Amino acid sequence: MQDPAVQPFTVLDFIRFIDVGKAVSVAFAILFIIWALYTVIAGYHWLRYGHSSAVAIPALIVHVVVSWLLAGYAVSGIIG
Amino acid sequence: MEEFELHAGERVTRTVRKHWFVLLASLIPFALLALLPTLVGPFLTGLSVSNAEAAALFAQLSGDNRWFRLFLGLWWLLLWIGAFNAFTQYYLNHWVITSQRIVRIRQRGFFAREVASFHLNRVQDVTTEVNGIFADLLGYGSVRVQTAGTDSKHFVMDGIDDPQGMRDLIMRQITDHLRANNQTHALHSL
Repeated sequence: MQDPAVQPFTVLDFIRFIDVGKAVSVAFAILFIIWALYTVIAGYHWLRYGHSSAVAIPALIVHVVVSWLLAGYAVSGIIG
Repeated sequence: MEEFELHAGERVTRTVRKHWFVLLASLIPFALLALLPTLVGPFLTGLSVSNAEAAALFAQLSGDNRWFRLFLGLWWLLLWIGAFNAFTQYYLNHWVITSQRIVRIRQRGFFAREVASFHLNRVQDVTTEVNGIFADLLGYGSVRVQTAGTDSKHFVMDGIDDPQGMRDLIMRQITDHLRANNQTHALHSL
């Protein structure tokens, strides 16, 4: 029998016990929180300091739309 | 809600931001990082032609694989946040030239904003600088304004479009401002 110490990738065995679906959900939730916080802060700055500009609202709309498209692409293989 | 109040008789002459090429240059790293994962799969597959198993494994690094697509989508989302942040910084950083002063509005990050005013009657010297092939071809550069006095300060408008035109505008504003001041003093002395 081969010595377990020299067997390749034994350290990665724990991965088999991880529920991939749950791991992805947690990762996605963390990223969503980061994204939502960033969007609220960026929106605040745009509306407070760039409010008189015609660029502020379209910029925020583009940010939200592009973000949702990318998030949709990311999960398209899992949910679709 | 404005960052500064205009004085009586003061009017805004021009609002200046950095040249569009400066924004474009700051976005290039994000574009390259976005492309990187899509090139890794074909590159590694090309390297492992002699090993069919490895080649098959690396071939999985494409949009057809749902896990790779998940990684790619999240990676692009993070990069998009970074790129949008660069655009926000670009847009919220600007200079305002008024008939009485130059106002520098600098967004140094979220919740760190600096507004500084330089009165035109204290401006001593205005110099322009154009450095590099792109700056020369596209016509952007820096304007350096030096103020007089014991606590002499200077500030730099870097990467702006048409720096020579901006220097001329500032000099013209100074002349108009001094002329208006002299007229006011003359009226008061009558």
